[in-house]
Amino acid sequence: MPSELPFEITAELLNDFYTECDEHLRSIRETLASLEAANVSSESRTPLLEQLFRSFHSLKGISGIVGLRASENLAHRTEDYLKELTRNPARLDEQGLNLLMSATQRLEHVVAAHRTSQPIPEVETLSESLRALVGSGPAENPAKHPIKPSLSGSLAGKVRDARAQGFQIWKFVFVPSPALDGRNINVTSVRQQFQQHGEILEAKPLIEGAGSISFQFIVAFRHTPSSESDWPLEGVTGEPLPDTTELTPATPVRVEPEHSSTASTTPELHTPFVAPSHVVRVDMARLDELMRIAGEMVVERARLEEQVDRVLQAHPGIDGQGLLEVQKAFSGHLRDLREAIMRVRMVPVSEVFGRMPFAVRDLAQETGKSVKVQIFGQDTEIDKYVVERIKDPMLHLVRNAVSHGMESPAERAAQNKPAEALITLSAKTVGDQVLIEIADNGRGIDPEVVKQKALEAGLRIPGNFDQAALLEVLCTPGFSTRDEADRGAGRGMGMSVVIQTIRELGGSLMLHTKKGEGTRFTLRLPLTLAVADAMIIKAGNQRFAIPQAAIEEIVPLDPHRLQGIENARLFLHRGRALPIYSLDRFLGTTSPARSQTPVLVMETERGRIGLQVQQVTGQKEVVVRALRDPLLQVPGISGATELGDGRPVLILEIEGMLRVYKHQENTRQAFPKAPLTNL
Amino acid sequence: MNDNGKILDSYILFEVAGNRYGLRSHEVQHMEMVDQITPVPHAAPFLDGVAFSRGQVVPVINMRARFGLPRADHSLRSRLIVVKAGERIAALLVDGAREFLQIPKEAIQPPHDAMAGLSRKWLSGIATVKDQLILLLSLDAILNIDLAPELVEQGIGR
Repeated sequence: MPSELPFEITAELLNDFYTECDEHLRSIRETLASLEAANVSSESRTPLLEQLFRSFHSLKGISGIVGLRASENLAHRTEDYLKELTRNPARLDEQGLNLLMSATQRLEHVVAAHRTSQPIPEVETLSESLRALVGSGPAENPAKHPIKPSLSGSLAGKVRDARAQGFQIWKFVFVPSPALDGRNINVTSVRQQFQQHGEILEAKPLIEGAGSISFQFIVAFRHTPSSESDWPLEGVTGEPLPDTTELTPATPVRVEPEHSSTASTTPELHTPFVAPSHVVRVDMARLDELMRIAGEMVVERARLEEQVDRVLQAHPGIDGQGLLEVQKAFSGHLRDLREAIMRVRMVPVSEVFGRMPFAVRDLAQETGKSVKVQIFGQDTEIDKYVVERIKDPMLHLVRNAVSHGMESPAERAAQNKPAEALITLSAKTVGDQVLIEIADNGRGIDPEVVKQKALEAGLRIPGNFDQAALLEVLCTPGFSTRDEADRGAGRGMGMSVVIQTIRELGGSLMLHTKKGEGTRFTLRLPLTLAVADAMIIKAGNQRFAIPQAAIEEIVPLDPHRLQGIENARLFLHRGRALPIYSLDRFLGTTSPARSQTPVLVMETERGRIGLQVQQVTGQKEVVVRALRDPLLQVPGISGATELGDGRPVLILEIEGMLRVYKHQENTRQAFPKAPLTNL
Repeated sequence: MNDNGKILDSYILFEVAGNRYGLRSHEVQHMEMVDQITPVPHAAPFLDGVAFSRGQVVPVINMRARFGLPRADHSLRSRLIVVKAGERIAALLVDGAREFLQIPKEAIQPPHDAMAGLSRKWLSGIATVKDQLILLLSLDAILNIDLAPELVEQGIGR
């Protein structure tokens, strides 16, 4: 690797490099998605192409600094191609767009490989394809050789002209391979050979499925190529071009503007001055820390309020007005602070949407379908944590849409549907939720088929098999209407995991589908999340969550070390006697007897206490779901969460629990019968 | 809705301890099999706990307990009827959820004092369909936490 660098590559420099690459690549993906959706006018395309040029230009630069030659070269070639395109936006066609996307993906792989010290993937093939696109066009060599026809205009026009001038037109396909490359037979050498013996009318890459590339050349020969020296044989197949001038099927005809033989005087590409960014990059961990501190401040604020009340009540003569005003102001600022921190965590949903067109494109090509992706509401903001968790489920839904939901172009034609299917992704904010929709105009889901499969699988079907029931069946673990080995939509995430993830985030999923017309999934997600670090514990064989922040320490307790009588047990901890409460007693449960039980040492308003539980099963970051219904306002329970299996887990709150314990003592009732709503 | 000039309302019918009850179908969101219910300590005695229903945490009201009857084990026919009243969503645990029925307004009489032992506060009316009685419930009363459970006389409607 590089020894010619003027300075040392530090770990910090590399980190900055990776972060910048991520940003540029993200911007590139977004711009490519916009480019694909934009109409073909120059006004629409030029600013996007310029943006892409700048991004690849930067990537080239920073790659050079850290000495990553592969990405530097590929970025360079892409930059050159983009430069051409900015001069002539109409030249960008389907193949060109595919190539830009492939180059982006390859760059991502190269950077990722560098990051994880894996072998760097090769970039020569793509680089050559890009170079070929930059070079192709009207004759590179001035028309002096008698074996070269004089041509102008579109490919079809050139073919016509060449034929009119007595030339023979052949079509060749060259498939590169590492073996051929090892013998210096690559697209450049093949092209040179063609140019020696004939005139290349068109040279373009063909992107096959699974990312492999071959090259097509349309060549005009004065004489029928016969001897082996006339054309490069290795890796090349050729045939005369039929008179109907049929080009590669499923390729849109390239629209090429008429080039005059004089060099066009296009202005040199002017890279506009880019203002220094007003964006600050922040480590997620720091944001989480801010959130945690804000959360604790809220708890302290509540305690302060209680203490202030207590003091004022104990001293009725004091004028507490000033104190109360300050407290109120403080509460207001705290609320503002919490909301501001929440907003910092918001990112545009384009982070999730950005990857979709790529995934769709790959899968569509693999499965031979024609699919277009439209995106709306990319700027809608959503919590960063949600974005990270929702990426995979959304990818699964989109993949499903392509592999299961889309008919082949032939099937669609038979139903009078446009051959190109459409997937629409949209996001918008409604109240305190974000609505994300994934819709397709494919074949829809047939409830009868699903119902049948479900019955066969022994699942219970409600009498009213509506869309909601249909969704629940589809999301049943293990249920599938297709072979599980389906590569397109598989990869370890089934619908059951999709809906589980959405629910864990506090969201919901809805299905609307019509056979023959299409399917629409609607995800509802909360705009902001209350996320807390929780300790998961067990009592009476049931799981509960306790906020990590409330726990100071966990000590194993030997029951024999307990001192005192039934209702006032103490245990020795760090030289002090702490009262100990049994979670079983609060819950009214019985835990299996063990030789040692864990005790959570917690600081409370009444001092330090120990909470005896059956077992500590682990730590987890949980989404806090508020319990709003009046029926659920009970002391000691501050919320609910879900640990992934669909079963609600209650979040315990120690101050309320202590009030219950006190009530239990006072009333001498082990488990009070009435609801304790007045505690 | 009109059928031969009559005014019909649609109801969801269900069973609790042998009696048939009905709720206006617009109050019912959906029905589910009984799955995971997590008990909530120190809550109202007729509350079985909380459950997740389509991503939301909802209280589960045991309808037997709501009417002051002893609880029974879940059977294969037990169902959760998820209901909505204003902003509140709750699940009612019943012995069986039978059908969806349209009842003409004329078949419904208001509950009146002469009916001994009936807890009128739960009922919005009593319907007679094909010589059978269906007790039509007031959802607001069911969800009202201040209303303590009270016996509904058994034997009505059999």
